[in-house]
Amino acid sequence: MARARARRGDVIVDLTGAEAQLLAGLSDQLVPLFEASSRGDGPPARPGSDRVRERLFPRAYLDPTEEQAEEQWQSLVHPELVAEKSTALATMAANLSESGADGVAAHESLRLKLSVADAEAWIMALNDARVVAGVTLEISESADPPDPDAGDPDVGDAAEALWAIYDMLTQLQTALVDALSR
Amino acid sequence: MTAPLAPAETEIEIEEQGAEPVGDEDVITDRPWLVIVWDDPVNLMTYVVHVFRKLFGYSKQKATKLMLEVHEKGKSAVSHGNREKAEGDVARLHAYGLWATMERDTP
Repeated sequence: MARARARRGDVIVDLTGAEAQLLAGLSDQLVPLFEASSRGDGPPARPGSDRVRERLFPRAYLDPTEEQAEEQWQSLVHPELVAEKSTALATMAANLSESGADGVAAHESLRLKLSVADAEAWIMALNDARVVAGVTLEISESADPPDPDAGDPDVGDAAEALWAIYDMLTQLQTALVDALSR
Repeated sequence: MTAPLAPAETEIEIEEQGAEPVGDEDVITDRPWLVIVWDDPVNLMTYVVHVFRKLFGYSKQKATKLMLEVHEKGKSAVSHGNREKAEGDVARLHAYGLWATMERDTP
């Protein structure tokens, strides 16, 4: 189970091998999604990716009379946001690689010592991953997660797996934010 | 990209000294911009508080109050200033994955 705590100015993270490998793979999955958002004139790369793009890179201006300002803002800011979000994921992947995540079996445990700056990058990366999963799962304030144990027929294997990933990401982000807030 | 928090009133005073408003358009131009954060089912409440504190330097109490306003009312104005400052604040909030927009303050 993913855990994090503050210790002497650093943040200690404990993961299972399976969790570490999942986190290490997020960069490869999400960075192409971020980069595809820069080429917004084509068809969606996959179902729902328009909604993901709109949520990850929302408009600044809701007022339609500010369309020119919106376009200027997007042209300036969007490349920076893509770079910043990609860098946060790359930081997490690098931290995991440096800690030997590649060689840890799924059932083994891995301990990382993160600087506060790196832990800050982790919570940004985890939030983006949770947003992508959350939009895909159509998570809403009012709806409870489906309970596969209750025989919910709407929960397929893929959705069930994504819910498990979402829960793990939530648990780790919660622990990291708590550690950084102390 | 994060602009330091500067009171919007200072900007307005300077603009008003430079040129007297001659019509509705000028009055509208002088109005400060509000940065609005919208409720989102994914973002963690503790994370939102953390982001408000980090980006704007708010106390835990103020950041928590704003977060609860977002959660309970659907949105909250978390900062204000001229157009440039508001655009910078929105960009920083988007970098952290919060759903933020900007709009002119209503008189």
